[in-house]
Amino acid sequence: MSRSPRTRPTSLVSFSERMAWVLLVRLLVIAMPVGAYWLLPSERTATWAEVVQPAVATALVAAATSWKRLPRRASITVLGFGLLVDGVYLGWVLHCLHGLLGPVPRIAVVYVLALTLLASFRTGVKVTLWHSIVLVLVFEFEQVGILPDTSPAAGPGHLRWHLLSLWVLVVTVAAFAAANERELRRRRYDSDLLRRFGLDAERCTTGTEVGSLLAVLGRDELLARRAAVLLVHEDGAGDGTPAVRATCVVAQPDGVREVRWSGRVPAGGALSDALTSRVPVLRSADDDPVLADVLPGAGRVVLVRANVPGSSTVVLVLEEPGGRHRLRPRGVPQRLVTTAEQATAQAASTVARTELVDRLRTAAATDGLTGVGNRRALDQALAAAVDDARNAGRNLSVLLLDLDHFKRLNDTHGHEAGDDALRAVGGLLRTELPVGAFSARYGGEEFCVVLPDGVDGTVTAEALCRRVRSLDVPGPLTVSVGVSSLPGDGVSARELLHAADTALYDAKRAGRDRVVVARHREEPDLRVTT
Amino acid sequence: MQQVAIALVAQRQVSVGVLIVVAAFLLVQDRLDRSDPKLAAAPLVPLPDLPYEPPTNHEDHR
Repeated sequence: MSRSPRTRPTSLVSFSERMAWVLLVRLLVIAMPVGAYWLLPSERTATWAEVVQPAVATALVAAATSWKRLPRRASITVLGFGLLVDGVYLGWVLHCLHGLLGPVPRIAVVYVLALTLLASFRTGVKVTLWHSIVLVLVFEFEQVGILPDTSPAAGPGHLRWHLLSLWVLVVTVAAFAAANERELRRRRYDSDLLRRFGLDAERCTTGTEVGSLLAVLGRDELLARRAAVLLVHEDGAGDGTPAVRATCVVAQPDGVREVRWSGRVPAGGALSDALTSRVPVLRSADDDPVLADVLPGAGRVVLVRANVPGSSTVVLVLEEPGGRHRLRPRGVPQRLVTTAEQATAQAASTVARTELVDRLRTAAATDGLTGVGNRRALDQALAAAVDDARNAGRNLSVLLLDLDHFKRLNDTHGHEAGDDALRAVGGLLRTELPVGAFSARYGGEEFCVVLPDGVDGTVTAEALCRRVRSLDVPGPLTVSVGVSSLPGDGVSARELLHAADTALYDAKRAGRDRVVVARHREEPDLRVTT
Repeated sequence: MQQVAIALVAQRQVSVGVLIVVAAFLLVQDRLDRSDPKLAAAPLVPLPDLPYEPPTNHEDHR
């Protein structure tokens, strides 16, 4: 992203591969003056041996200084030594092949450009500096007579021109390649970022977890001062202002917090724009009451939206993204907004998956007709409740309800009336039981209720009996209830259900429309007999 | 080469300047590129390919 690229070592060409290419180029460059000596007789100003022997020696040094088994630090130092030797060799063959007017200056250009691109830009500049020093020395030595002057026609002007063109070329190539490489590195970083986000999001099991992950990405990777993710559920629109419920996860410098917001989203605000726009919205957050609650004091924000198919909307809000490390933030880098869009779309599809799993899980545990839990959910919930109550030493009540004369209701008023009665009782159980209670359809016209510690089973059962009598269904509707409790009537789900079922049978035998509490089983006799 | 060395000694004024420039460069040259990420942060060798698991010998399970 736009922070200074955090180069991941695995995204770079390995050191050994780079050194292999550098060695290949060095050997080629070392051989080139020998070839020039052979092909260009007119440029010869030294003997064959004076060119070939240094070439062989330098090639051996090049091979030796590219040995791969050294530690990295030592390898870099040894490579540096080899490049110094290369420079001396090029200076020498310059003297042997007609000086600045011969072929060696061109070979030197190839050499420094290749090293700039293959080793590193800094290495290229270093080698160019060394080559310049050697070149000046050779020229100076020839001028003062330390070396015989092999190219009297070449003056200081030739030297300056060669050095100028060499440096312009190296600096230009290095700068251009660095700019290209930086862009490639950023793109690779973005790609890695989205890949990692996708993998992390796959492990999320709730929409809030996904939102938290996206908000942290916005803060840490998209460089926002704060980032918020709103999971927006629209509850309908009135007066052109949609009523929404939003679960908001806010990533700020000191951590992540969760905020719940509900109300109407006023038209013309930043969030309203984002909810209706297909493109990211970049504007001030000052006039938006929702953002004022979620990100108090936020200035300019970027809002990116993605729809969760058939459900909600994910909105990523970034406060001043990309501007944290910039001296004068004027706008937002486009690459950063694109990454935000991709990450938000990915988050939306993950939220869709988690919501789908939730819906499937709920559907698998719910009785389709009555809306209360089904038998499988009851078995799981009752077993877990019994375990919890036993471990914590708490009480628990189980109520078994059976609609009285249900077959007669069906026969007299039709099965639709029977279904209506079941639905009505289911609705009663869903809405009128105390907090912590669990209700399920036990089978046919029987329901089961599990009541937590502190809720009187008998009182609740009697209240249910009264409420069932007053339900608006065709014909009179009453219910018989059997009540058992832990630990008096059993210490397992099976024992409690059996005790409640026996009590229910007693209620039926006693005339229906009543509550019967199970008789406690006999306590074990703990007295020691002698 | 011997002639060059002898000439270098004979031309003392030149050789002092030469030595200063060369020595200064040699002192700093190793520091110029040793911290470049391409050399300092790159993995030493290419990441190896991930191997397949060896085939299960069904005879062992009988």
